[in-house]
Amino acid sequence: MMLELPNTAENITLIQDFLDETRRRIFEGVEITFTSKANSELQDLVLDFEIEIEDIEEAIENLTTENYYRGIDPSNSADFNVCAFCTKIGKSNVDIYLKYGLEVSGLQILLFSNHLPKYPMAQPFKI
Amino acid sequence: METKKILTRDNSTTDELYALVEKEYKGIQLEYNEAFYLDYSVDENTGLINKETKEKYYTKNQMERNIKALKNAYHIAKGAASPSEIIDFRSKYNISASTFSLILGFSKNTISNIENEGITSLSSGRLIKMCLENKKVVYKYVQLCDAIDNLKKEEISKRLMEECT
Repeated sequence: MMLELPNTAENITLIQDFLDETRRRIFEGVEITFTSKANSELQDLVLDFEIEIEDIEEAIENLTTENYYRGIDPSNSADFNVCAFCTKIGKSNVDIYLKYGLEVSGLQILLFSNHLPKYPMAQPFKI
Repeated sequence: METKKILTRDNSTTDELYALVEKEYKGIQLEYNEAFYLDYSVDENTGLINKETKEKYYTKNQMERNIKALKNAYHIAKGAASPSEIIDFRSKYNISASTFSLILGFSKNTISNIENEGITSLSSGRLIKMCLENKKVVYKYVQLCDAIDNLKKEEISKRLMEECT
């Protein structure tokens, strides 16, 4: 299970740094890699809501700390920093759960999950 | 055909691989080929790489192609013409892609795009399918087409009618 960071100024900065690093990589031309699970979930979003890959990219680029749900192990001991968010996406503006990781010793942006939330998601940094 | 190469996380190259996907969606069985590559698995909760096992990953380009194939399979399952059906029809009656496109009232490259990239619109795909299944409709559209010359019209009409009689 991913841990939920409490709402502190330090943790908000930690998540903001994660988002800034994501945007920096995308700006530098790094493209999102999909896991098998994310691929399968996106197939359903494509057929159900006409969600495109560009919608996922746009959603990731526009994430804010208020979208934060779970993640980042502050010990920094993993190969990927993994974080989960909840945001709205596509023409139909559906809620979506996004979970992705940033490779620590490389540049990969790895999308683990992109699906409709299975239950209401508390967003601890939401004002 | 040369195998596509993908760069893995540790900057080594690996082959692009292909597999048949069978997916059930709202009671419809969809089948299409997907492209992917293999790399070491990553635990989505811990963020740790496991160098003992490899699993499927997808680049953005592979995802784009796979989604196009998925949509194409979905449209065909819902009654649209498949690219191969269109090609077979054109070959049988010796009609070029651009001419067939104009006969059906599309812009010049539409049929060629569909044949190469798949059906992108269910409504267009269904209309094409209806035409392929009813040569008299195609014959009528040939007569009504202003974008091809009379000689070509006559040749195509003759080939279509030979089949009808």
